[in-house]
Order: sequence, then C-alpha cells, then structure tokens
Amino acid sequence: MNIFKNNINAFLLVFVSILVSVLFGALIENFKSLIYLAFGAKILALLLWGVYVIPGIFLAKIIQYLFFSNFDPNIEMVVSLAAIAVLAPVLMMTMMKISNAGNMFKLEKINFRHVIFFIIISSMLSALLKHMYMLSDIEFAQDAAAAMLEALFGQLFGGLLFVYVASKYAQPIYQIIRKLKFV
Amino acid sequence: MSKYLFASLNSFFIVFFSYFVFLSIISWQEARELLDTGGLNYDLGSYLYLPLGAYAFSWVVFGKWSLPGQLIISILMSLYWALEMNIFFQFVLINVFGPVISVSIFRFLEVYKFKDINSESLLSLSFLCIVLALFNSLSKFFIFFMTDDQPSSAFDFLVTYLPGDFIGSFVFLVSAKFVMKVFHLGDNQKNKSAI
Repeated sequence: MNIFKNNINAFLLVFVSILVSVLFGALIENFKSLIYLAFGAKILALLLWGVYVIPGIFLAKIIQYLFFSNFDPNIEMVVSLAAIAVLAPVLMMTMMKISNAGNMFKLEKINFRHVIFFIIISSMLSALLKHMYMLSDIEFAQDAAAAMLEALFGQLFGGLLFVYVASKYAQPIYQIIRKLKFV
Repeated sequence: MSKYLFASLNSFFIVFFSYFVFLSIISWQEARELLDTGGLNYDLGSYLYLPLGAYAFSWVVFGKWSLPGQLIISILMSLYWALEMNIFFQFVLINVFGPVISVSIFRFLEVYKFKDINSESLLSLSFLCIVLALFNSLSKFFIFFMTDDQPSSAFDFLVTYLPGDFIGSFVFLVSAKFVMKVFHLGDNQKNKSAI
C-alpha cells in the first residue's frame, strides 16, 4: 500500500514538473530546453522513495512523450525513451553503490556532493542514450548535436536547480502548509 | 624548477608512448582491414584509445606541472592528424583539459581522492574511465558535429568513440597501475606522506 502511495506521489511530482516546464517553455522561449525541471523531479523521487517508484515515473514519462513531445510519437519509441529516461539514473545509482562512490539507495546515508555528482553523470548518460536511440532513426540525424547539447544542459541545470530548491525550501514550505492546517 | 621540468617531460613521454602504441595498433588494424575488405573507413574511431588514459594518468600523478608537456604533445599529434583549423584548438583543449575536469569533479565532490593511481581500486578506476569516456566523447561529438557542415554518421561516431575511450583509458590505467606496483614506482611519495 505504501509503495502504491509512493508511486502516485512520484507520478504527481514528475508530471507536475513536466507541466511547469511546458508552461514556462510556452511563456519564455528556450526555457524548457535550458532548465528541464522534470529531470530533477525524477532524481528527487528516486532519492526519496527508492527504486520502487519506477512504475510511477515511467507512466509520467510515457504521458510526456505522448502529449508534450515535438516529434510524431509511435508506441515503440515512446516506451523506449521512457524506459531510457527511468533506467539511466537507476543504472548510475547501482554503479555508484557497487564502486563505493556513494549510496544513493539510502536517504540517511546520502552526501549532498555525491548527489551533485550523481546528477552530472546521470544527465550525461541519459542525454547520450536517448539521442543514440533517436540517431538510429535517420529523421533525427539532422541537428543531432545541437539537440543533444540542449538536452544535456537542460537536464543538468534542471536537475541541480530542482534538487537544490527542494532540499533548501521543502521543509519551510511543508511547515507553512502544516500551519495553515491543509495537512 | 628541475622538478617541474621533470614532471612536464615525463608526462610528455608518457602520452607520446601511449600515442605510439595506439598508432601501431591502428596501422595493424588498417593493414588487416585492407587485406579483409580492400578499403578503409576513416569516420570510425578506434576501440582502444589509449592516450585518454595517459592524459588522465599524467594529471593524477604529476598534477598541474604536467600540463605544458601534455599541451605540446596534444598540439603535435593534432598536427600529425592534420586536423582542420575549425576543430584544431578545441580538440587540443579537450584532450588536455577533459581529463583534468573529469578528475577534478571526482576530487571536488569527494567521490574519490585520486591522490595517486597505485592506491586506487579497479572499481574506482573503471568509474573514472566511464566519466572520462563520457566527457571526451560527448565534447568531441559536439565540437565535431556543430562545426562540420556535412557530418557523416553521428551514430557511428558515438558507437565507436565511446567504447574506444572507455576501453583504451581503462587498459592504460590498469597497465600503469600494474607497472607501478611491479617496479615499486611512486613508493617514495607514499612513504613521505606517511611520515
């Protein structure tokens, strides 16, 4: 039951951040590509609730690629891209644990500097794998480097910004909400 | 002063040696390819790019005093490859400062200290090689395909450069670690730090 609840929380977190990115992207030109908040939300969800929330994040990413992407979606591509988006950070978490570079699976043992490292390498791997998958399709070969660079920096800045803001202001916001007796 | 010159010269010859081995392997590969298929494909990278490991090794072992030697050998090799001017300086800088940034990320974020190669485990070296390969391949990919008007195959570029960088740097670093252990190189520094 708890895992189901966490999955819904993760889905909402990622989905709302996708909506915010799309909304700001519509308002400010190039905002969406430069600060991609959904990446940070995904990382935060994995850090907070562990790998059990993969289904929730996967569902949010599928909805993103179906309705908010700038290419004609087919089901194989949508599922593949969503799987890459979810599994790239998990792969890096596992590698970091195996090589004693930091345990991202336990929240109480996390060093914030290791989280920054995790975001940097996850964004690199995620951008690389997604674009390598898309480069196998000839239609995406045009301007591939520019698109990949945008994705890389968007995920990097978005991830760092989201996790920094969440770690700094999550507690005060939660306390304000509690004072207002919404929770 | 002589210490710094020594570090610079050492790093120059270490990177030169790695290029020498790398070029020997390439010529062997090319000869095989010529025999097998009757043609060559220059768009593909090598699957054993040893110099990446040599640059990282020089930076870890000799520090900032290795940079002049690394810069000179990188410029000489870019001249040897006859790189076009629009990518010449970018590739020189990526060769030298790519490993510097990668190792510094590990040190600054307190993931690994990388004080020397000898005391590091194989797992930490492999992780360093992954980050080195990602940084080197991606930055060269961006430079190559954003400055080139008619890029060949971006997919083939990445599929050959990325594993080549990882395998090459890992092979070089592991070999260097093995040689240092066998010949007791770098033990003086360890003893000094212990005292």
